[in-house]
Amino acid sequence: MNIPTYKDVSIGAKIPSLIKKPITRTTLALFAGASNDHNPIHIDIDFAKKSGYEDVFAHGMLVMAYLGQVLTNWVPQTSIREFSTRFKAITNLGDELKCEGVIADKMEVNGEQCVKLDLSVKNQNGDVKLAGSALVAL
Amino acid sequence: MIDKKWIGHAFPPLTAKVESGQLAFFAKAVSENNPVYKDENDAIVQGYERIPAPLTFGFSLNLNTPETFGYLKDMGVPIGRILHGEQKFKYYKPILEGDEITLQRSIMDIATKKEGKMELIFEEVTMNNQNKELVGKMNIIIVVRN
Repeated sequence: MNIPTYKDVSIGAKIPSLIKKPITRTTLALFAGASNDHNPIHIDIDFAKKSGYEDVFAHGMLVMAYLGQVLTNWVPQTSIREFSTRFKAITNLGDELKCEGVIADKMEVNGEQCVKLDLSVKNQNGDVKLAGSALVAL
Repeated sequence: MIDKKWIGHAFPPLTAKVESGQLAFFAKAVSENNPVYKDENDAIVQGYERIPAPLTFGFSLNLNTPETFGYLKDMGVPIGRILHGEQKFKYYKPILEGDEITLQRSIMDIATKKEGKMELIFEEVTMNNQNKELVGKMNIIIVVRN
């Protein structure tokens, strides 16, 4: 991994993005097991319908895990100080998610040179599913 | 409506072991390509003692209970009505394979929106490892559709 340095990154620069495979029922079943999140709304269509949804939908934390990969493909995890997201819209079966990050600011935090990133996850239609940010020490 | 008595409530702490099998399963489930999360040798080359848990794994450790979201049931919130609103992690030290993490969940606030059609639960979770080092914190907003 070529670790970026503080002086080499500029505000507005994009970090490498990531496109994940379309969400399937198998994706959700595997993530339910692996993540301990057994909420049936993500794996049981009968329960989802009873709860007022047309079908099951993705766990927000699955999409956040994808977004985190953009960060950890870019810098070692030990450089990441904060990572946060707002879940803006439900991610549906078949959605092909693109995870992106851009340098929003450079500043010193607790004596460390840090960059703030604006992060987003969009589906194939450009609908924003997650909007987030991260604080990374470089 | 959620009883406001829960504001300030600290749930009993939960201790969860970071199992190697679960880390491998998680890596598969999120189609992780970064070898540091799958290969101990790569993790050691990258400066870790053991495989690190990925950025969002603390949330899964906190669900390591017989009933997913059992604490919401205690609060009278049906699981079919919740959505995840916001999630924040603060990181102080990596969580590694084999660690035993103690998680403490507290309800910081409960807000009513849209004339009671929606409620927001604000939670904070601290995470300490087996050496009693604070490894991270989570702030969670759960949306309840009434």
